Amino acid sequence: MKKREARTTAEWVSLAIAVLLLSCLVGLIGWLWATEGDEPAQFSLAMGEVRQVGEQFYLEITVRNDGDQAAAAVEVVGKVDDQESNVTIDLLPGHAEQSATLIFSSDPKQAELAVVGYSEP
Amino acid sequence: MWRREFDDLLNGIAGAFLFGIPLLYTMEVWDIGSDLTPLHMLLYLGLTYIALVALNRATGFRRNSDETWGRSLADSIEALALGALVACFSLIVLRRVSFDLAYDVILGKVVLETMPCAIGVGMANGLLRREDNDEEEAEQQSFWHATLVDAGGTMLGATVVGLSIAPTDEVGVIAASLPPWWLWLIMAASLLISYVIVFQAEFGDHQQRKSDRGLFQSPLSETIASYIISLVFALVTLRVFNQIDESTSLAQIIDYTIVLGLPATVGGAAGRLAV
Repeated sequence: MKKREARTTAEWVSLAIAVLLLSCLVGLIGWLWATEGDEPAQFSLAMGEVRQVGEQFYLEITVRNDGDQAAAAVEVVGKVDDQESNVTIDLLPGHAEQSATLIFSSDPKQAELAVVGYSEP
Repeated sequence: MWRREFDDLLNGIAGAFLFGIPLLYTMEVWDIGSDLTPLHMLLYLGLTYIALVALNRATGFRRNSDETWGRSLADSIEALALGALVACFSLIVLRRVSFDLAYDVILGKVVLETMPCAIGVGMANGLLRREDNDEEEAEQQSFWHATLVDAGGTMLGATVVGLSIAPTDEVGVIAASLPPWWLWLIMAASLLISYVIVFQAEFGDHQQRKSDRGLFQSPLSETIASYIISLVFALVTLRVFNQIDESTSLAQIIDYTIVLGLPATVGGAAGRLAV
């Protein structure tokens, strides 16, 4: 075994950097905690671009969860005339957004979009 | 002095990858991390710190240090920070974290992946140190024998890790989220991580090797050789589990192989330490 050694300058420097990094991490978590709300999931939808592939129209949509709590199995339904298309998003954390695509057989510029349900993760 | 400190830190980082990689490739951990409350994040960091203090009393990541309580407490802080760095780096390289995500999602994933990585730092000495008598034995081996032993160890480790990750969905999920040029980044990261582990395990004490040890004699050639072996074994295990077959496009095969190549090469490095 080595004899007792004092901490070297290098060790102090890395300890200082480590403390700094961890305080940043803990500080960020604290900030999250302070600003955290408890609102249940709520959604907003935005339509993106439409791509035509053969006879079909691909409509890109963005689903945003404006609540604080996460939602699972978020189901989005789009309606054009009589045609319905739907897509399910596995997990949508609070204040996060996710893109998805709905496919229709006619031009979905006037599509009506709605989130019709979700479950607690 | 600086050199030794740098060595110790690299030693810790190598341990973090060895222990943390399987959980970095686990979807459930990403999902659970996305949904952590700040209270839980702090709690988990605290628990990890306590575990680290215990580990640092036993092994730790510093080569020559006295086991005083003060040191163990301070080393544990560094181990936790190193674990957080490794977790952060890996999540960015694997594209599990990007800056358009919500802050609590990013932090949750980082905190949860920090746990295994930091524990890996705490066990670095236990995972990586080779016994001294092992070295003498190795030096007496002939060129081809040494090469064969190291290549065998790499295959063994790459297969064990490859087998545990190849059949899961993670490879596909990660591969699907990457733009093609990102693969270079993953390759670079694989080589870098493998190099750090190899260097730390065998060359960390700066003892010059006097005799040939086969193709795996210098850290650089060892890293590259083992990466190539790991890629081959990643490909083989992917094929065994039908993740790729005759109808798979070449682009996807390359994607999958390189994504699985990262854990496989870490496993390969671990395998060489084991034989």
